[in-house]
This record gives sequence, C-alpha cells and structure tokens, in this order.
Amino acid sequence: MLEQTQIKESLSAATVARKSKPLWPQVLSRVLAAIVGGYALTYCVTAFLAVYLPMSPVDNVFVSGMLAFAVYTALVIYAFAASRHERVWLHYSLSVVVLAGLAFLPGGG
Amino acid sequence: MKERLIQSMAWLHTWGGLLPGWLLFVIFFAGTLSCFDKEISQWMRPSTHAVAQNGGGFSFDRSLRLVEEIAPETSSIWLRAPMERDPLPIIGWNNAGQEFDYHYLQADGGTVLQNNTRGGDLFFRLHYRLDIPNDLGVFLVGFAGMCMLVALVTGVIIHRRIFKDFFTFRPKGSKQRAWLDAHNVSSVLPLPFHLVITYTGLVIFFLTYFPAGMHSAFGGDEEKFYKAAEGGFHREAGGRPAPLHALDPLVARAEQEWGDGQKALWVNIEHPGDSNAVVVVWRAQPKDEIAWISDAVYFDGVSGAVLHRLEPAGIGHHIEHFLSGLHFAQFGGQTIRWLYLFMGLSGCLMIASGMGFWIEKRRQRHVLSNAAAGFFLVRGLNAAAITGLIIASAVYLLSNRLLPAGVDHAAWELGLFYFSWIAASLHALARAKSQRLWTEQLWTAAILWGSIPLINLLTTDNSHLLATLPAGQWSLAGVDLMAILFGLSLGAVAWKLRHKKMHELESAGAGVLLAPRERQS
Repeated sequence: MLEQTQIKESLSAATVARKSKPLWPQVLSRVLAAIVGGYALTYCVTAFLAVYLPMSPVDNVFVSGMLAFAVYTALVIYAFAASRHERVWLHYSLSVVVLAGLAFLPGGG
Repeated sequence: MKERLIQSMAWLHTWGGLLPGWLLFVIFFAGTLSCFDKEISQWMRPSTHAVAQNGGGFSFDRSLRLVEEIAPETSSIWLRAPMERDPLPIIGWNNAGQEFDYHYLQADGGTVLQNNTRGGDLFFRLHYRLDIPNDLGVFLVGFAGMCMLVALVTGVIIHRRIFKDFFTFRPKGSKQRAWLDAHNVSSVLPLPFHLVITYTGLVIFFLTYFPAGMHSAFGGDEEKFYKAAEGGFHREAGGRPAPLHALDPLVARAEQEWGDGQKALWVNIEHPGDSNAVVVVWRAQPKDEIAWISDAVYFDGVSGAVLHRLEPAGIGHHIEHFLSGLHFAQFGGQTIRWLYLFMGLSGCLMIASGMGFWIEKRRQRHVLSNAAAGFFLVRGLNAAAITGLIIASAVYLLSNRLLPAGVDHAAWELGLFYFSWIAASLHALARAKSQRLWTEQLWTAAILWGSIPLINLLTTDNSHLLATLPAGQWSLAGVDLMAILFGLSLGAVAWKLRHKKMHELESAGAGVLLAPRERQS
C-alpha cells in the first residue's frame, strides 16, 4: 500500500515533498523490465511459437514473428501495470527459462 | 486500484510517446511524403518529362545491351521495365560480394540518365532507417515504432471517455486545451490507421527485430530459411561461354504463363554469357492486390527452357505479404495514395500536438522555476524537429528547380536539405523563449511549400501544373497539388496562432497549475 501511494503521488502532479523511500529505483526497474526483460521474453515466446505452432516451419516463423510485436506491447504494459516491480522480474525470468528451454534444448525444430 | 492503473498507463503514454517524439515525427512526416516517393522522384527529373511525353521505346534486350556496354564483366544483371508511377527504366548489376550498382535510364530507354537526383528516395530512407547506412537506423526506427505502439494502446486505456472527448474541440479555449483537443481529434478518428500503419511497419522488419523464430526453427541458418521461404532456384556457373537467349521472347512466355494480362517488371540474369545462365522474369504487382506477392518464372539462359516456377506462398508467409502490402500502399492507385497521405498527416498532427500539449502544460511551472533553461531547450528542439523538417523538405524540392544545370544535383540537394534543417533548428533554439517561435517557423514553411508550384511554373516548360493538369499527368501534378495543400494547411495553422499572446498563455498556464490532473482521465 505504501508503494502504491508513492506512485500515485509522484505520478500525478509534481510533488516536491518526497516520502521516505525514493521512487526512482522502482521506476528504473520497471523501465528496464519493460525494455530489456520484455525484449528477452518476447524473443523466447517467438522462438517457442516458431517451433510448436502447427504449420510448416516457414509459416511458423512468419506467424510467430508477426505476433512478436503484440506480445512485446503487452509485456511493456504489464511491467508498468503490475502492482510490484519485483513480481514483474520474477514472472519474466521464469517464463524466459521455461520457453527458451522448450524452444532450444531439443535441438530446434 | 483502477485509478493507479490509469495513472501508470498515463505515465507510460506520456513518456513512451514523448521521448521518441522527435524521432516519431521525422518517421511519420517522411513516411507521409513517401506516399508520393516515386512521384517526387519523377518530379525531380524534369529533363525526362518532355521525353516521356513522346513515348518510350523500352525493351529488355535494349536495356541489356546498355549493361553490356557499361559493365561487360558481371555475374548478375537486373533490368526493370518502366512503371506507371516510375516511368524510367532501371539497369543494375553486381559481381559476387560487391555493392549493387544501378542507374536510371532516360525515358526513351536509350541512354543512362545523367546528373540524377536522390528524389523521393531520401524521404523513403529517412522514413525507415533515418537515412543511416547501417542497421542502426533500422533499429532506431523499430524502437520508436514500438514506443508508438505502446503509446497508442496506453492512449486507448487512459481515454475511458474516448468518444466523448472526440466531440470536444475548443480551439478558442485556452491554448493548452486547444493542443489537447487537437491531439484527441487527430488521434481518435484515424486510430485504426495509426495502429495498422505502426504494426505493419514493424512487421516488415520482423526478421531484423525478432529473428527468434529463425534461430529456433531453422537453427539460425539464414540461408536455409530464405531458401525454404522464397522457393527460388539457383545454380552455379558452368564455366563455358555460351550466348544468352533473347530476353523479350522469354518475358512474353512468362506473361502468357501468368495470364490475366499480368506484366513483367524485373528481369534478372544470373551468369550472363555462361552455359549455365539463368533468366528470371518477375511479375509486377497487380493494382487490385494488397498482398505484395512475388511470382517468377526461371528460364535456362541459353536454351530458353522453363527451369522453375515459384510456388504460391504458405498461409503465414501470405499474411506477412498482406500486412506489408497494407503498409507499402502500392495497391488501389492514386485514391489510396491520397487517403494514406491524409491519414499520415493526421499522425503527424497527433505527434506534434501531443508534444505541444506536454510543453505548454509545463510552461508556467518551469518558467517560474530554475528549470527554465531545460524547458526552452525542449521547446526549441520541438520546433527544430517538427517545422525544421517541414521547412527542409520544401527547400529540398525547391533546390531541384533552382540549382544550375551544371552542379551535382544529388549532392547539392541533399546538402541544402540538411543545411536548411540546421538553419531552421538554430532559429528555433534562438527564438525558443519567444511566443512567436511557432508562427515564424510555420509562416516560413507555408511560404516555402506554397512557392513550389510557382517556382516550378517559372523554371520548367513541361512540368508545371498548367502543362501537367491538361495532359492528365497526375503523378507530376500530384506533387504540386500536395505542395499547395501543405502550404495552405501550414498557413492556416500559423494564422490561427497569430493572436495568441504571452499573457493569454500564462493565464491559461496558471489555470492548468491549479487543476493539473483533471483533464487526464
């Protein structure tokens, strides 16, 4: 709750007064999670879909590649919509490990 | 909880849209001009216009003889027929591992066009790679495109009353409100276009931005993937010399094979003069097809026998052709091109007004505080990116008509484009504190664009509106008409802003300071 109040205040008008904990570390964390974490996870989702979609390998590459931008957009939004930034990193890291494993460990499609 | 979500989405919308705002405006404005890239190129080659009226005598064999004269030793030759939008033939060639070298021909197809211009290609390259030669430009545009996509989606999320807002336009209200209303109007109605144009623009380069699928499904073997995707045909040179089969009969055979009166656009010759020569005839995109589907017939370059025919693309590949076709807008002719131009302009207005709203909203707060220097820097840079580019683009077209015949047109036009952009930017930074910054820049842009048809009339015999309109040459006339449209719209905006005085704006700014968040939801 404390975190939420902080976001609310500093996101609204330019509040000069600061609460005890500075806001910038978690904003930076969310920005990095969105851009870097979001890219890594989108890459893994795309790689996963390209192997496991039911079409021909070429069509799978095209369809998964075209979906990548919708996935990336959703992940960027989630990085800012999630209530806690630590949770974003946790979800993204776990998903990256699972999807990358499924996409690349069997030696590719 | 819901309130917090809206606020974080508003934060993302503001910063995700604003930080790449300058980049986005350049991409959108150059993309809007690229609706007419071929027309601009044609317009900027006035020496070919009279020749074009006499009709050309194009043949692929004739173009091939020119290549044999200029580059007798080459391993790959490309020849392009005249197109409706791009009526000059092209010849090109390269040797293995070398840059592709290409030239436009004079409209009669008999000689290489001398002292060529970069034409509309400058705007096209600014649009998709910021005119940067390596991949950095493509990635910067991709980053800006992703920011745009996020800004569009978060923009919808924060505008819960999106349709009500749309009917609210108060140009006579405070300046800041006018900026916001302009932002809403130019965003909401063309929103489907903005979403589609941004998404399809990213899709065109999906293999550059997300090569993940190629890495996982094809083990990163690019060659293997392209072979499977394109389904082409390739064979090595045989090493023995052999005369090349005449091209025009092969083109006629390919056109017969396609049927429906479809025409060949490109002819590619691999290993010309070799016993294993291959002649590939590529189909032109029919006007009524959105998807840009390539189709080709491969001939033996010596006997003329059919070696291979491209298979129809699979469903995924076909969807990709459809989406990129939506972006390239090569279907539907002039009507679609003008529609895309107007939609593109609404996108420019959306970006410019979004940046304008942000800056005017902060005027009061920052002018009174010690952050004023940064505020004015941003305000000046806004004008440098927006009106600076609009001014430079007009100067680029004007310089084509005003430069003397003897100078290197391609180099001077490009030089004047960047010079005038820098000059306009310096003016913007110098006048960043002035209330008249925008009107000065806008009037300059309006006068420059409006003068294009006049200068064209004074400097050419066959290329101005009085000649092109009666002859029904809509490609050439379109550039002058676009210049008139730009001149009038820029003048109208400048006229609207002329009465806004500093004190009006400051009182508006004070009102904003009292109710900073009210307008956001």
